[in-house]
Amino acid sequence: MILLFIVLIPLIFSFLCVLPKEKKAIQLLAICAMMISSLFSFIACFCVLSPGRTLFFSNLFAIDLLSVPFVLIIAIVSLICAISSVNYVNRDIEINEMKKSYVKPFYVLFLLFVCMMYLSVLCQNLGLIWVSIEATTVISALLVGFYRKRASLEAAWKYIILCTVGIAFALVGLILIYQAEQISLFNGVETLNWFKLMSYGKNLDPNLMKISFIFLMVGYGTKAGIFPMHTWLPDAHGQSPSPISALLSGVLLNCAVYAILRQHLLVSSAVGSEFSSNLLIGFGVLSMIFSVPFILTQRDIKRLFAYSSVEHIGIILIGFGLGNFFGVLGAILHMFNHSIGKSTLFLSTGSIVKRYGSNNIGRLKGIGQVKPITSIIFVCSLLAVAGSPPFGIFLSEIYIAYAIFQKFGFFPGVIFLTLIATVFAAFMYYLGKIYFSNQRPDFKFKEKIGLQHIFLSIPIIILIITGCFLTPSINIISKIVEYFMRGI
Amino acid sequence: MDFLCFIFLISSLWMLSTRNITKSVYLLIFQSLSLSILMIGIPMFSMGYEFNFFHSAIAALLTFFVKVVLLPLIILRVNRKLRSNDLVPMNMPQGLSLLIGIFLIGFSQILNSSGFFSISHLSSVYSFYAISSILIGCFYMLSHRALLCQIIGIIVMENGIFLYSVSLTNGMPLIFEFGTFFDLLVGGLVMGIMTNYIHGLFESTDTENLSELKG
Repeated sequence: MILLFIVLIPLIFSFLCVLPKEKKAIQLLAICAMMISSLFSFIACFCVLSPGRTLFFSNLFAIDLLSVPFVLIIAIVSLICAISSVNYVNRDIEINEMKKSYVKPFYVLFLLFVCMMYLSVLCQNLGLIWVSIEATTVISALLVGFYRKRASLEAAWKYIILCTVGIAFALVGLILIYQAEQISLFNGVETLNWFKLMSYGKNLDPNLMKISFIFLMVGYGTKAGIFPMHTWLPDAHGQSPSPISALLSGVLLNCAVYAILRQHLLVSSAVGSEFSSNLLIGFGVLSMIFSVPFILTQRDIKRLFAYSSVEHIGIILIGFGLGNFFGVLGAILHMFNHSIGKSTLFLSTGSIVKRYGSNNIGRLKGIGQVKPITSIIFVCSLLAVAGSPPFGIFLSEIYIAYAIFQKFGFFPGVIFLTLIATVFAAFMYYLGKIYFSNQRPDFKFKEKIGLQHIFLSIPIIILIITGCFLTPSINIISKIVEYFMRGI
Repeated sequence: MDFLCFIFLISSLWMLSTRNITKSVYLLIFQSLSLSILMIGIPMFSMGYEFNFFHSAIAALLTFFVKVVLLPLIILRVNRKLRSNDLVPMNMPQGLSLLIGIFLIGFSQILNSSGFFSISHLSSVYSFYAISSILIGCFYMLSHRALLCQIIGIIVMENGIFLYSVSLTNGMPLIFEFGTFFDLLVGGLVMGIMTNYIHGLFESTDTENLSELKG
């Protein structure tokens, strides 16, 4: 029942948001919705983690150990985004970027978006996962083009067209899985239910499963921003309001990765893990390599972070593709840390960019003097995303690097570390340019500490905790890793 | 069934040679209408499967309401509202576009009759028409440079995918069918709204204008 509540609460509150006329009331409803659904999510995750069992609700919803990190990510990031969006929306209204009448549609779409993301990680039916991921595209496209400027509408159009075409390929993949299910069951009761499919995975036609995985990888890969299907990602992340960029980068990409992982486990049970693992590693490596030149030559700060997301998704895919203990452990931790870090980075960047009125890195000078408190959060989250100690991403990258050395030996490990070091160096260069430079003379030194700063510092603390205190020996994490490894 | 499949294929091929949006939408209606009959006809006449009338009838009705009635209505309404020139710009001459369409049909036939497809249970009697429609839908989006044509292209592509699903599996689970049609309908609506916004700002629906964001 609790699973139903997690999905229903944002949905019900999105309808409730239509009722009040006051901006504050709408914002309060949105925050309440996120708080309640996050609370239910934490309870559900606890119920799964402590005994290590799977919770079912009818034959539609389920939460197992694989869903737990994703549900936690959605719960934490959506709550942070809902709280931070209040300040962001208020400022947008002040500077006439957003009309007062747009507040209602913004929060209605925001809540529907979160609802669909929850649905995509809580469904046990592969068909419904597809439907909910496609629904996230339709809803978030409206949010990407929310400012209704030329660039934002262009980004929104590219996003909806590319993702709809991409996800259509995933539909072909699902048809093939269903065909495999029909053949193996000899006209029995077919459902596309993941748990049932896993139980007779070895009977599924290997050829069909392999081809279906290619289609699903291309389809969901488009949504996950994997190279070469990533072209919508920098545009959409760069043009959408910052709380939405944070949700897109921090949560939505992971929902698509979740769908890929479910198919990976299914294909592994049918034909062995080698085929799908190789594809995951291949796409992961391509995403890492091809995002680097764009990171090095970027002028737009939000596009820079979008390309960094492509790189990080690549790292996560490599970790899962490796399939050994440290690879999977690193990938799960990396996914969690990246989501938290990137969303904080987008939110703090949004605040800075609004002050300067430009996304251009060359124009963002002396942020430490202009926005001293926000810039501390910005610097911390940037260091975290770049992979600096003591933040969690450093540790997860080291785990994945260790797994590569273990599985493929010295040379591939060195290449992986070189790519990470290059991105780190690029981020340090940009940090120096933005933070350690002189401010423009027309800017005043003024920023009071507010509630939003306290909320934005919570993810930084979480990242320090995951970087300093999370070790593989912690029972909860090893349970998730072992659950995943049992499937492949 | 073969006649309906023929209409299904010819209507998509014809779209490639026309620059008129209204005409394209009427052709889309023809294609979707033939699909909705095929949704019930193919499972009815297929051997070795137990025919579930309720399931097939619902899928056919959904196809009819969403793809024959609602989506074409949305596209025609947006087109009328924009009052734009009905003739859309193309990336190539109409003749060449038609020629490539015929080539794609030939390619689909080769693919469908290949040993790999039959061994891997990827082909059926009607899958050739489905694969052709998927490829033609993709190509239609590339050859025609109007926003509304991209929506039409996606629907043609999805028509092909739905024909493929019914020809291969006699229909997907009902809850999934409901979900996909709902998504398609809402997606069409959102794309229609966006076309309106884009036309308002760019004073055109030519996709060439959408090339500001690079790098």
